[in-house]
Amino acid sequence: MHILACIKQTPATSNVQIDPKTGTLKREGMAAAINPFDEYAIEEAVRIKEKVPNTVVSVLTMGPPQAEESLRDAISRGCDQAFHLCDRAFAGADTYATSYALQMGIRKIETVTQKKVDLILCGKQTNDGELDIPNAAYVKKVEEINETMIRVWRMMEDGADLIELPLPALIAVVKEINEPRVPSLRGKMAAKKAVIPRWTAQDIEADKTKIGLGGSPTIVASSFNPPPRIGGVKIGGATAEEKAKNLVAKLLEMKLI
Amino acid sequence: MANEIYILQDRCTGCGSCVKVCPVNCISMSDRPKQEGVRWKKLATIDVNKCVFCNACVEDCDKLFEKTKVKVPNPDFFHAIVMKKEEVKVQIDTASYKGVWCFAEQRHGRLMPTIFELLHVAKKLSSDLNEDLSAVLMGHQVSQYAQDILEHGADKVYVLDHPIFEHFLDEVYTCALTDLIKREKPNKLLMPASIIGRSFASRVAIAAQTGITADATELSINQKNGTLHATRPSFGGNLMATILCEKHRPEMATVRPMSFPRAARQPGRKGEIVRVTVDPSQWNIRSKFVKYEAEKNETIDITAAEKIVSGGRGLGKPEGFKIIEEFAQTIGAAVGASRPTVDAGWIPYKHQVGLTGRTVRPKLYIACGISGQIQHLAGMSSAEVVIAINKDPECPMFKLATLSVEGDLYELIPLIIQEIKRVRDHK
Amino acid sequence: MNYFLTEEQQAIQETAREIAQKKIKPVREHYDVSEEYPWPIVEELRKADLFGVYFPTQYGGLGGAGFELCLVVEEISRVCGGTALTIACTALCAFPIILFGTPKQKEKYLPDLASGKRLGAFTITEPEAGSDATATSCKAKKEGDYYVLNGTKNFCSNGNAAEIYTLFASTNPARGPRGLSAFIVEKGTPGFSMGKKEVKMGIRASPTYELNFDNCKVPAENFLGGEGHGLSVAQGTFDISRPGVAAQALGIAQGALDEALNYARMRKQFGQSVLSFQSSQHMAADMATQIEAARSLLYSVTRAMDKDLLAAEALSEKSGKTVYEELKKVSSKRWTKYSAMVKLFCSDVAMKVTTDAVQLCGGIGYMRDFPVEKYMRDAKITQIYEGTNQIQRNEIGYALIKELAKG
Repeated sequence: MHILACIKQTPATSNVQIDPKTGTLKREGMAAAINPFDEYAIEEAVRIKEKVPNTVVSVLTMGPPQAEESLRDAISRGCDQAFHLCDRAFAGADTYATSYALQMGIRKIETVTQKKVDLILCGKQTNDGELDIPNAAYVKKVEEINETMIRVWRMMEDGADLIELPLPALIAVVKEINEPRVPSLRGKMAAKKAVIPRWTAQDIEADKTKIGLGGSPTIVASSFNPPPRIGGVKIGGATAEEKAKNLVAKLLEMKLI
Repeated sequence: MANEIYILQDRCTGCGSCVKVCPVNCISMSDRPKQEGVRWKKLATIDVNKCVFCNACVEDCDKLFEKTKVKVPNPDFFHAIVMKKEEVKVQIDTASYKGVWCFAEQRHGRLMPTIFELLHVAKKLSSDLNEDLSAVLMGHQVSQYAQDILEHGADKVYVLDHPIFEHFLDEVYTCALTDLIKREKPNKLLMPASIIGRSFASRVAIAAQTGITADATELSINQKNGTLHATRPSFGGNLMATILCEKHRPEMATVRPMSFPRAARQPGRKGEIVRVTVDPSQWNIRSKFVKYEAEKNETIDITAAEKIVSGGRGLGKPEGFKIIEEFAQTIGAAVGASRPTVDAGWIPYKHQVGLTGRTVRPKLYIACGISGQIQHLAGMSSAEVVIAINKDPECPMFKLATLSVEGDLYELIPLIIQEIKRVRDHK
Repeated sequence: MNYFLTEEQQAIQETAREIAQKKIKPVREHYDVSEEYPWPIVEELRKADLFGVYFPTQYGGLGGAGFELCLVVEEISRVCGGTALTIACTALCAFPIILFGTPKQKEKYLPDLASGKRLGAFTITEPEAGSDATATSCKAKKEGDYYVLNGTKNFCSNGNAAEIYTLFASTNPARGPRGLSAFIVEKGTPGFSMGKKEVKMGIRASPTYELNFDNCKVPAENFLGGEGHGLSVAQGTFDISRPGVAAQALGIAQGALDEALNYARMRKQFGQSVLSFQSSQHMAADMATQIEAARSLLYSVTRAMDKDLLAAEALSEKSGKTVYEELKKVSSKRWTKYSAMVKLFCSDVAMKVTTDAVQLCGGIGYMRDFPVEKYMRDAKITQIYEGTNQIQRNEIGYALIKELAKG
C-alpha cells in the first residue's frame, strides 16, 4: 500500500503571542513548523504502515525552502520518503490553488515512485484536494483498513458516523485519532541523510494560471489586530441578579456564548 | 510572471513598521550600507520565499509616508515597497450570478439552528445587494422545515428531499450542491462552519471553481462593487484577515457558529418553495454510510475543549460539581477542577487542571471558587479569556482574570445559567 | 555551556528530553503514587530507540557506550528518577553480558535488550549480603548440563518487569569470595519466582522485588565469566555502570533546581519575588555550581572510559575473546577509582541540591502537590545502591594506597 501524508507549513500558531505593549505579533516561536494537525496525519500513516505489510509512506508539502525541515521531521517520525513543491510561483496560494498544485504533485509522485497512491491522509486544516476520490473529514479513528477499502469513524457534534470508503481515498484526521510519537533516533539519522526532491511548477507540469496568488480566487485584502483583551474588569452590580446579567451581556458581546 | 515584491532602497527610512504588520514575518531590518547624504541607518529586506503577497506592508508603508510628509522625487506613489501581482487571466461573468444563499444543515432529520444565524447575517447582505435571499435544504423527509426557514427571512427555499441525503456523505452533498450552484448561479453562498459545513464546503468551492473563506466571523458587502468582505481570525486569533474573492462566483464563506444572533421569526411570512428533483444516478458515489453512534455521554476532554468551566475548593462539597456540570452543559463546555477537589475525591483526576494535572488552552476558562494557586495557574494561564467567580476579591485568580465576579457561587451560577437560557430563548 | 556533543549525542539528548517533557512529566506523579510500572513510557522509549544507545551496532544498538547511556539517564531523571531505571537497570543487566559474554550469549540476549523488547535486571544483594557481596549464600550446584540454584535475592530493581537477569551465586561456598559465579537467568525458568514487593521512599515507579530460587535449573551455557570469577564480573560491571547512577543523580539534581528556580521566581513574599532575595540567590548559585562540577566530572570520566571500552569492543569482535579480556590489554589500569568518584560526588550533590531545592520552595516544597519533594526522595537511593557512598570512599582510598605502594 502507498500512503501519502500531505502536510502544510504554518507558523507555529500555538506559540504565537501578541506583544502587550505594541499590540503586534511576537516574533518568537514564529518558526515554520508542521501544522500541529498534520502530526496526527503522519502518525496515523505510520501506524497503518506498522499494521499493513508492504506499506510505503510518502510525505508531500508545498512551501518555501524552509519547509524542507518539516519534511525531514516527518521522516524522523517514520515516513519513508518526502517530496517538496517549492517555487515562488506557488506563493500566496489559497485553498483552490493549493489543492490544484497538490493534485499535480501527487501525479508526479505516482510517476516517480511508479506506485499509485492508495490513501491520502491530511490534517484537519489541510483538507484540500481536487482529486476525484472518495473522502471523509474529521476522522477520529480508523476502524479497519485493507488493500481495497478503509472504514473510519467520523467525529460529529452529536456522536460519530462510521463511513466506508473504497481505496484510493482521502481522509482528514482530527487530533483525537492518536497521540503522535516522539521522533526516533534512527528516524532522525534517516532524516538527516534523506534526499528530498524539490519540484518547481514546471516540474509538476502545473498550469501557471492555476497556481499561487494568481491562481487563487481569494486574496487577503487587509489584516488587522483584533481588539485588545480587556484585562481585569470587575463585573459590577448591586445584587447577584444584576451581576449575572452584566456578566452574560459581556460574554455575549465577546461572542463567547 | 510570478508575483514580485521589493523595497525601493532610496525611500525606505528603516522605520521598521512593516516588520510589525507582516503576518508571516518575512520582513527583517538590516544595517544600511553607508551612503553620502543618507541619514537613515536601517533598511528593510523582504524574504520573497516566505511572502504571501497580502499587501499589508504596502498599505502600512503608504500610510506612514503620508504622515511623515517626506519629500520624494516621484510623488506618483509614496510607499517604499512595491508589489506587482500576477493578474488572474480567468474572467467570469460575475453579473450573471444573483442572490444570497444559505445552507440549511440537518442532522437525523432535524433542522440545525445554524441556518437562523446564517439568515440573520445574510438578510443584511441581500438587502445591501438588493437581491433575493434563499436557503438550500438537503435531507430526507425534511420538507416541513421549508416554511420555518421562510418565516426566518428567506425569500426562497430549495428543497432537496431524497433518502440519499439522510446521512451526511461528502461525495453526495458535494455533488448535489455543486449541481445546484451551476444551474442556479448564486452570487454568495454561506455555510455553517460546523463539522458538516467545514467538511464539504471547500470541496464545493473547488468543484464550482471559486474561492472560499473558512470560519468567517464578520461579513459585509462592498457598496461600490457588491463584493463580499469576509473577515476571519488567523494565526490562532491573533490577527484578523479580511478576504476577498472578486473574480469568481459564488463567493463562499463558512461562518463560525455563534458569531451572529439568530434571525427573528415572522410568523406567516410567505415565500417560494422550490422542490429540486434529485437524480443520484448521475453522480459517481463510492463512499458508504455504515452507521451512526450517539455520544456515550462522555464528558468533553479538557485538553481539547474550547471552553472549560472549572470548580475549586470554594465549592465546599463534592455535590458542588453538579452545578459546575450544569453550567458547563449550558455553554457546551468541559468540566475542569483544581487539585484539592481531585485529591478530596470529588471528581476524577482526568478533570484536573494545573501543574500536576492537564495544561489547557481554551478560548474561555471560567474558574468558580478557585483562588488561583500558582500550580493551578500554570495549567490554564494561557486561556484566551478567563472569568473568575469567587467570594474573595483579593484572590490571585482575580488578578489574572479578564472578567471577575465577586460573590457566592451558589447564588451566582444558577442566576447566570438562567440568564443565558433567557437570552437564548429571547433570540 | 558547550559540552562538545557529537551530532548523534545531541540527537540522543534531544530525543530523551522530548520524551521526558512530553510523555513522562504528565504522568510521573501518577506512577510515584500508584507504584505501577510505567509500561506506556517503556513503549515510547522503545519506539524512539533509546534502549539501544550504548549497545554495539552488531547487536542492534546505535554503537555508543557509557556516555550515551548517561545522556539518556540524565535527561529522564531530570523529570523522573524512577522512570530512568527502566533503562538504567536494563543497562546493569546488559553490561556484564557485553563485558563477559561469549559471542553466543551476546547474540542471544543483547538484541532484545538493545531494542527494549525484553528488559533486564541485576541481582547481587541478599538478606545477609549487601555491601559485603562475598557473604553470598545463594548457591549454584552443577548437575550435568545445568546449574541448580537455591536461595533468595532481595532488593532487585526492575524486579518483575525484567525478563533477563544477571545473577550472582556461590558455586563453591568453601572458597568464599573466590567461589562466587555469575549467571544469566531468564524469567519463567521453573523454580524461579518473585517474592515480596518492597514499598519504598523514592524511585517508586521502579519496582523492587525479592527473588526466590527453589531448585531452579539454569543451563550451563548461561554461565557468565569463569567459575569462581563472579567477583570480578561484579566489579568489572560496577566500574562501567556506576556513572549510570551518577547520571541519574545528576538529572535529579538538575530537575530539582529547574523546578525550584521556576517556583522561587514566581513566588512573592514581602512584595517581591523570593528569588530576588540574596539568600535565595546564594543558595541557587551553590546548587548550580555543584551540579556543573558534577556534570564535568561525570562527562570527562565516562568519555575517557568509553574510549577504552569501544576499542576493546572492536578488538573483541575480531578476536572472539571477551570484551573484558581485551579491555585489560587496552588499558593497564582499572577504572574503579574514577567510577567510584563519579558516583560518590554526583549522588552527594543530588542529595544536597534536592534538600536545598525543598528549602528554597518553603512550605510548598514539602508538599506532595509539588514535585520538589519527590526529587529529594528519589535522590537518596543514589547514595545507597550500586555500593553505598561509604563503600565508594573505601574503593577510592584503597586505590590511592595501591597507587602509593606502586610508587
